[in-house]
Amino acid sequence: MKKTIAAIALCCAAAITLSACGGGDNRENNSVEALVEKYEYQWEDTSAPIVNELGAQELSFHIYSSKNATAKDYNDMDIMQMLYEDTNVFVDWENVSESVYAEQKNLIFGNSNNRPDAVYHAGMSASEIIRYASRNVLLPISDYLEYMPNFSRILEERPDIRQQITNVEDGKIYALPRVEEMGLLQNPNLLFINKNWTVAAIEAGAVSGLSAADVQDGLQLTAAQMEDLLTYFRDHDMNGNGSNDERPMTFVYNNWQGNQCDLYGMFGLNDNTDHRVIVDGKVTYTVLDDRFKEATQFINGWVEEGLIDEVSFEQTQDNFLANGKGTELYGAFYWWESETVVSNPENYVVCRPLVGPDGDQTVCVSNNPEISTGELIIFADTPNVEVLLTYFDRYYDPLISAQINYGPIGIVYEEELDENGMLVQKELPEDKTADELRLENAPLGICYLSDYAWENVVHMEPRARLRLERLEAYATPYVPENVTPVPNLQFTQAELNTLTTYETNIFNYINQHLIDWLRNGLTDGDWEAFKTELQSTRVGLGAVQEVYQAAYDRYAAQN
Amino acid sequence: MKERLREAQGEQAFDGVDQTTGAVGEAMSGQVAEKARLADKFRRSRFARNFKRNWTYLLFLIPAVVVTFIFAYIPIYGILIAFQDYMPGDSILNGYWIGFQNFEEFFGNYVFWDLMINTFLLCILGFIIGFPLPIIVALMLNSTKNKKLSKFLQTLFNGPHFISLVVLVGMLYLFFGRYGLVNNIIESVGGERYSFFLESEAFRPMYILSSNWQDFGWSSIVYLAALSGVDQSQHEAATIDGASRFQRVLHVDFPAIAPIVSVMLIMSIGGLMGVGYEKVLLMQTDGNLVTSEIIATYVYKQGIQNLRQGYATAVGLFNSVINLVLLIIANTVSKRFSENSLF
Repeated sequence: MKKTIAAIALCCAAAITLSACGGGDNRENNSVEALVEKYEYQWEDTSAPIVNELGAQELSFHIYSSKNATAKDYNDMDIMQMLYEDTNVFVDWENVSESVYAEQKNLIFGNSNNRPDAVYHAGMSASEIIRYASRNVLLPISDYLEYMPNFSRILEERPDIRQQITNVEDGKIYALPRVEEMGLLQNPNLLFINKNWTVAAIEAGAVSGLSAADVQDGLQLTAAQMEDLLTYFRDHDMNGNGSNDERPMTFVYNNWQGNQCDLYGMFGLNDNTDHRVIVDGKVTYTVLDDRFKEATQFINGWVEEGLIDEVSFEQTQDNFLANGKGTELYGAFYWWESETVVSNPENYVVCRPLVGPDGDQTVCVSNNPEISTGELIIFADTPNVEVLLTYFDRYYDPLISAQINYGPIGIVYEEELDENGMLVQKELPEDKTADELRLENAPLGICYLSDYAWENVVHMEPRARLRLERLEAYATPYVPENVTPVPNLQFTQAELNTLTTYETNIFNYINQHLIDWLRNGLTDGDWEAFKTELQSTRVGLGAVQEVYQAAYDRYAAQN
Repeated sequence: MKERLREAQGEQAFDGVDQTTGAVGEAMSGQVAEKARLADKFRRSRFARNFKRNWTYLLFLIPAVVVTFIFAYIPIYGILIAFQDYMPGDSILNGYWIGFQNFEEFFGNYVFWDLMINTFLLCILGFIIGFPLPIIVALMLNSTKNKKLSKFLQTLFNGPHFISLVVLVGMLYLFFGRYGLVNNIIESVGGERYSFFLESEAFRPMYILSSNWQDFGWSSIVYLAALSGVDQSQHEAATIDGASRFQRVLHVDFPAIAPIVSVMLIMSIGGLMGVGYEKVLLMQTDGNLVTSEIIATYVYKQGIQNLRQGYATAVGLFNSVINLVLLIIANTVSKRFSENSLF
């Protein structure tokens, strides 16, 4: 008897293990004619509903999206509800945190029977897009441009954007971009110096050729003067707290902003963390330039002297920001702006780029793109996709874009526009900062904010405006005309294979050496060996440079 | 009942071995083969008899066999993607076969030997320090006269095991950072601040010592359990013979746990190259990349960050093969020189 019971129990266990759960998509796909007939689908009038009430009830889309930790669930966001009321397109958002998305991205794509309809904040690289596209996983959005009036207009006005998002293999577009052109990203660093400390150093006679009256925004220093100042900061108890805790110069090494690259401007190099810029239409690697060696040796001198705090190579952005608060420790630092770094930004002045030993004066030109190309993708098997695309097209309407990016009317902006038709910032609620309010209420993601929007729809935030003014005065004028950043480029499958094979290795190879050299110095022999090895077929910089050049030539030929 | 079960399992294993030798015999000569066949038949029938007698107990094995099969054997088909240009969502028998290209690329890659050496050194050094430490600790705790102190110390040593890796590395940054506790002490006694996280030489000691600090107490539990089974009469006999405490540890305690030690040794060697990527990745900086880039972090970077799952699987598969070879070598050596082996 017992045996029988045991056997039955085991069989049940086995049955449970083997039973699989099924699931599937049983939504009906309608042709455009059917959509028009049944749901009064329309796409031409960009302010009228896209489908009728019946469509609101019967059509739905499931969209997966990561969101930042402080944002509301997208289903509860005012801007999303407003979009639903305006368009009658029902979207069911599934939100996960950014870190969860990073882990789950492959699983979402891997679960081919049960994918969502679209992924917002998809963060797709060019290589991912091209490989999924070749497997027919992604919807070729460019086949449906007629249903996207706003977006097609943007593409017509801006062939360069079209160029950056068009797959070179088949000439189609597989992902919708996010465009936020404020002109803030190209030069990511500004040099700030402590006003009071500098004045103290000048009055003590530690530095020549400067008077206390010079110490204001726009201060121009030569490398020698900077060296004297930093030495003075290092050797004196500048903040008067009795301990030798001053950090003469600091930054966050190889960060996307506030990094060491501006220092290379002293030697006439427009370096960036990729070490890749366009000079006279040629893809140029700064690490192959002999001035790079001189600059590295020079900067290493400052590191060994303790003028550049060695923690700059070790600290994260969070450490850097935290240490700036409270007692003043920073003599000079590179960052996006001074306001977020130190408690008393009024004690710091913006400097012009340092003038190098040979009189060179330029800045970092970064490849941080203002157009992110893989922000939204739609899966190829989504039913009634025309409706969804028309819905997303609304995001590119200037007024909607502003709300997507900064927060909705009613919370962040006043209901009434001002006399010029621009959005008016509402007064902040007492318990929140502007950033907190924005992150809570704005989904960010796909939008189009460009010159037109800044002039006609929305004022830039005060912080962005301040930074833009500083850049226009102290950074942009120092960029030579023949130097431009590398834009988003599109590669062929073969080119991508070359890149995946070599790029990580090159990146590691350069970084391993660079940090060692900056901290411990380099000899001419090291430098020659490095250059030879870097260009050899083992590391493969030559092959990668060719790929970039070919892709850039294609890009340049069409603009 | 236990004895019967053991007996049944023992005989089963025995049958398995003999069947294979029987098969070899067949090839040698007809007569011998005939004999072997008969013997085989006899054993078969004995096997059948045993099976009939013990089938209820064998039934209890089914869940274990099924679970192992489902979760350990079926997923092995996944290694097929090492031979493909795989993207998530592709079916496993898709058309993107590329043969051994992934392996060729890895072996030809200039980081290959660096990865191998870094992985090997990190693991072997960790093993040399980390393997004997818990044994020594267990022997010491066991022979402590003050049992209360021994229990207290054991608890104290176990504590760090429960710290999560992220927190542990956070602590390391706090203590060993440029403005951390250790550097503050160094400076206050007149030394120079030292960037532990930027110097490639500092990576291995810091990694290995922190790992061992975290786990030596926990790993000693298994030895303490074995030691609790040592026959007290042997200790009494040794005391009467005039053995000192140290001699008793050496000649009574240690031989008693030697089988466990050798099994643990084989298992550790089998997992020698299987170091996880998490902690290494957390401790990695540009400065220590020269020593801190190991196979596991490389697999992570290629597979997850670069989305080259096929390539990453190939590298991981290669790593597993090394582990398997090490395991077999360790097991064979152990079988040769002692009675103990895993299989």
